[in-house]
This record gives sequence, structure tokens and C-alpha cells, in this order.
Amino acid sequence: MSLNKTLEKLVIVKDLKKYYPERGKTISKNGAVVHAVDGVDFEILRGETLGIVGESGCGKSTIGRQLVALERPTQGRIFFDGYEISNMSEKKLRNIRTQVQMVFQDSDTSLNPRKPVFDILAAPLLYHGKVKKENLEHEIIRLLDLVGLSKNSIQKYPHEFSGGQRQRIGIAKALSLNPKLIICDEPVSALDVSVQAQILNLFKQLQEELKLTYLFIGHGLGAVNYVSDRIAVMYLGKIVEIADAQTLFEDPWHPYTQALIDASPIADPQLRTRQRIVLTGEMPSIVTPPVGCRFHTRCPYVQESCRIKEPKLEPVLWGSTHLTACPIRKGKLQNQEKFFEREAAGIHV
Amino acid sequence: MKPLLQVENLEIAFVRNKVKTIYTDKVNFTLNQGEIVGVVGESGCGKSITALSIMGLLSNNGSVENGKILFDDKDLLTLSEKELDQIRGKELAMIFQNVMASLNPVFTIGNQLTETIKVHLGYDKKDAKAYAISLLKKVGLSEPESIYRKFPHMLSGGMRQRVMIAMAIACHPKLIIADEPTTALDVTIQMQIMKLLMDLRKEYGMSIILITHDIGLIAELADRVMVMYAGQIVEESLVDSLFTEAMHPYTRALLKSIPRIDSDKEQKLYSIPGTVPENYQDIEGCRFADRCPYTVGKCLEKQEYRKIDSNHFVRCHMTSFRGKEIHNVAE
Repeated sequence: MSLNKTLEKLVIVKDLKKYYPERGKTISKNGAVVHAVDGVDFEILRGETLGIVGESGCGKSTIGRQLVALERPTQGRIFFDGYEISNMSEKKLRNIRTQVQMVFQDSDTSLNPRKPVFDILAAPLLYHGKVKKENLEHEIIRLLDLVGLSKNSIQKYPHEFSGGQRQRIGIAKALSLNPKLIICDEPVSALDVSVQAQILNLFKQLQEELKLTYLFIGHGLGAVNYVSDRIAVMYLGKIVEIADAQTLFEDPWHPYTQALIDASPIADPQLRTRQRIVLTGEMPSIVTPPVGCRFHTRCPYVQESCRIKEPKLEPVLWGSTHLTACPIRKGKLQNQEKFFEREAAGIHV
Repeated sequence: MKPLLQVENLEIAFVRNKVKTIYTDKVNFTLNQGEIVGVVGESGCGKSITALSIMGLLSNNGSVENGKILFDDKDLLTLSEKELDQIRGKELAMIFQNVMASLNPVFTIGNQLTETIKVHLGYDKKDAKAYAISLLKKVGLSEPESIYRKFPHMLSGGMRQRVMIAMAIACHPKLIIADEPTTALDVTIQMQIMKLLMDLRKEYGMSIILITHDIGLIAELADRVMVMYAGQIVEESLVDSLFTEAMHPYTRALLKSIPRIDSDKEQKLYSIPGTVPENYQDIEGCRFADRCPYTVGKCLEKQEYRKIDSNHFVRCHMTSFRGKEIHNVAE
């Protein structure tokens, strides 16, 4: 790989694994572990938005926490801007931390309720010595302006703002150190539709102005699609499909991706009777994930081989950037007829 | 046919800092047997308190100041607590959003489920248990016997929501009020719960009031929709026409601001400027006027709730001729 090619990639994640001890227990040699993220590879290009979707417990937030180095991975390597951060010393990390910031879902708990906006935004600036004291107020007003808040808010406390405005403060805080990458962990999930639209627009506008790169974690497909260039779908600690946003929704290969799309409500009553996959059952335990393909317990197209061998994430066609971890669906093109038979059998109307 | 539920001029007030404020402005609606009515609106628009007042479950500082709630020919507001207890849980049931808070953490699922059954249906212990287990099975829980013995915290969110539904349908109520029943759940589980509710409606012919802020869900489930804004119903219509010919600018704005999986990403997502006014109770005219792109002088006057046709009502004076054209001109 040429140097140029490498520099295009802001983040490279290789075989990332993160295991936690089961709740209330410690890891012992034979103790049960939660396989939160279990072997994940992906890259984030400069200036792009990579979306991650999946249901609760699939490991999407865990990935976010590894990238901001809040936690160390159990195994695997994470490169940020050419540096390996997965084994970096705390001291060296301090410099990296300014470049990777995070926006949380719950602005209620991520902002200190006892401090006014000024203090909240000043803390990171002073700690990292980014501005001189006399310029502090000026800088904070600039940040508030960036996220669409007036300078009158500077002495207000978080509870005096609405949910959408609090999320704006959270974004201003993330922007304060001039980061390259922002991890957005369900930043709009708790907001009303109309406010959600405002925040999504803000994310896009800031990306354009400041040349930011986002990792956008969410479960609402519509919202994730709106901001993302590429989207990765996760299930039980694994990426099952990754493609550019449009391709993913128009031509999903993995049955789980299809099921997720089918389960998302569409705001059009005419489409109520559309054909769709309805998944039965719940997600299996991540302490003892199913052997073979992790989705096989709920997959309508399951075959014997799925229960034995774990499928790899591979291009759907040679050289394609659309990757999927389902060999059965790959037969789709060669074996159209058989496929439709299966489809007819597996789908409920 | 007589409607099952008739809410007339409902005004709900809350006392905050010793000041009593009316939060809903003469809410009127009806619900027929077997119908699913969706109620949409943003947080604080009054949809949940309307539901709670039907159940008689307003918190201590809340009260119904005015209006009638006729359920099956009885005015629920005139009934005593004792009489209400006869109806609540039996003919009228509610599914809450926060299941963890509405199930008692120190009692087993079986314990809580059989209580309803024993009280309302008069079953003895053994029959109640058998019936409870059959209910758990009915709502799609595998291994109902083991779930019967479990405590709420041992179940996943989806399973807890199913238990709540089992509890709600135990007495085959005529009406279920579901307040954001799936908001905390993942989409594939949400889909399962919604399918379950639809199946149950088919089987028992019960009516459902579905309160949500997810317009997608409304499109998937409801027969009729009411849109609430700042304590008022601003539009009401059959589900199909709401999505094709919404007339109130607020409804139209809501529909436009949903990001879809096929939406054009180059275009800015439509967003409603500003926020819901704080003291909306004091606003004489249209409560949406300060955020509406079409505001004119007449909007500051009191807005009639106009009838467009037998199923479509809207609180906007600009709809005197079909709202569609006028708004298209303005856009």
C-alpha cells in the first residue's frame, strides 16, 4: 500500500476484540466473558462518515469507546492518523485525545449539572492549554456560535436548556479541541423528530465547514443513512455487512440487514403490506454466542453449513467495496431460482 | 354505531409552584370499537397526560378541570375510585413506556400477573396460574413456566414489554392505551410487539390508543391519527389521507422532517425553526404561529377546529380551500 493510500485512512481497526467479565464477576481462567466485540475490521477515511447500526448489545458503542481510548481492547490493533493507539502510553495518548472526541446520547448525564456552560466548555480548553485566559470567553462564544447557540447562554446551566440545545452544547464541547474524528454515539436517539432534524443538519454542516470525520453510531436507519457515506451493520459483536449507504439499503446481501430494514417503520401507510422478513426470537446471549454464523438461530435462510462454519466478511463480488458475511446470499446471483424459493418460504406478509 | 370512547372538552390542569395551569385545550375525540387511533406529537404536547386522565391515573398535582370521558356510556370522571377499580385493568388497560418502573421489582412475574386475574376474574390460585401461563405463551414468550417464576430484572426489555401486554390483555379489555410501548426496544423486537398487538386486536376486537412520537409506527399501525401540538389536537384524519394530504403546517413539517432510508442526502433535512413556546396556555391564536412559515395576521386570532370532510379535521384557518394547494404555492 502506498503511503498516500494509507494517509487517506484516518482510522484503521484490525481484528478488534473486547471482552468484559460477566456482570458482577471477574474474568478468571474459566469465567464467563461477554464477547462485546469479537473480531472486527474496518477503516474510516478522512472526511467521511461511517455509520454503525445494530441492535442493543451488538457492540457498536463498545467500538466507539475503544476508538476514544476510554478502554483498551482485549485484542487487536487500532491505528489513528498513522499512530497505533491501542498500545500507546497514557502520556502519549493525551495528545491523541484532543483529536478524537465524543458526543453522547444522553446530554442530561454527560454535562455537569452544577456548572454553567462557560465552565463546561472552558475545562477542556484550559486543561490542554489550547487558549490563553484572556481569549477564553471569545473562544467559547465562537464555539457556541458554531453550534447555533447565542452568547447569552454562556452563564446558563444545562437544565435551563431543552434537549436539543443541550445536545448542541455537547457538540460544542466535542469541537472545542479542534478534533479530527468525532464519535457520535446515538446523538439523536433521545430527541423529538423536529429537533432531530436540526441536529442532523448541524452535524452535516459542521463536517463541511471543519472537514470532520465522523463515526456515527445509531439504531434509527433513517437518521444514520442521512449522515453516513458508508454504513456497517453489526450483530452480536461482528460486522455482518458494510457498504456505502445507498447500496446497503437498495441491495442488502445479509439477511440480518434485510430484516433490520424491513423492521424499520416506513412513514407511508401504502407500504404496510410490503413483503418483509419478520425475525422471531430474541438475540442470543453474547456470553455464549451461537457456533457458526451468529445469526443462524434467527435466519430464515439458514442451512446446515451455517451452523458449523463462521462466515468471513468478504466482498460480494471480486474487488467490490461492499462486504458481507453470508455465503448463502452470495449464491444469489448464480442461483436465482433457488434463492427465490427460499425467499418465498421464509417471508411473512 | 356508538363509539366506545368519547372524550369531550377535556381540560387537564397541573399545579406547579402553587400556580394551576391548564395544559390541554378542550381535547375532543372519539374511538370506535376495534379501532386503532394513533396520537402523535412531541414531548410535552399533552398526549401522555390525556391518556393518564382516561385511566384516572394523573399524579396528585394534576386534575381534570373540565370535560367528560365517556367510556361505554359511563362518565369515568364521575366514578368513585372503587368503581374505577372495577373498570381499570378489566375493561380498560394501559401499557406503559417504562416497563421497568411499572412492574414491581420485588414480586415475580407470576405473582403480579395472577393478581389481576384473581381480582377481576375471580379465579382461584391454581386456575389463575394456568391462565397466566397461557397468557405468557400467547404473547410469544417461550418457556412461560420459567418466566412465571422470574423477577422483572431477569428479563430483557422485549420480554418485559410482552409481560406488560400479557397483563393488559388478561381480562380481554375493550380498550388498551399503549403509551410509547416500543420506544425503548430495538426495531426487530418492536416489529414483533406491533405484530402481536395487531393479532390481538383481530382476535379480541379491542380498540387501541397508540401514543408515540414515531410517525413511521403510526403509518404502519393506526387506522386514524390525531396530531397534537402544545396541548391541542391540531389535525385528525384517517391514516392514508394524513400522509397524502396533511393540512396543518405542523403536521406537514413533521412529515417532512423524518429522515428516510431513501431520502436525498444532498438536500438539507427540513427542520421546524424554534421550539415549542413555553407558556403556550396563554396564547390566544394559533399556538404554532411563531414557527409556521405561512403565518399571517389572522393566525393571531382564535383558531376554529374545522371540518374538512367527515373524517378530516384541522385547526388552521388557511384550509378553507383544500390545504394542499395553498401550501404548495407558499413553498
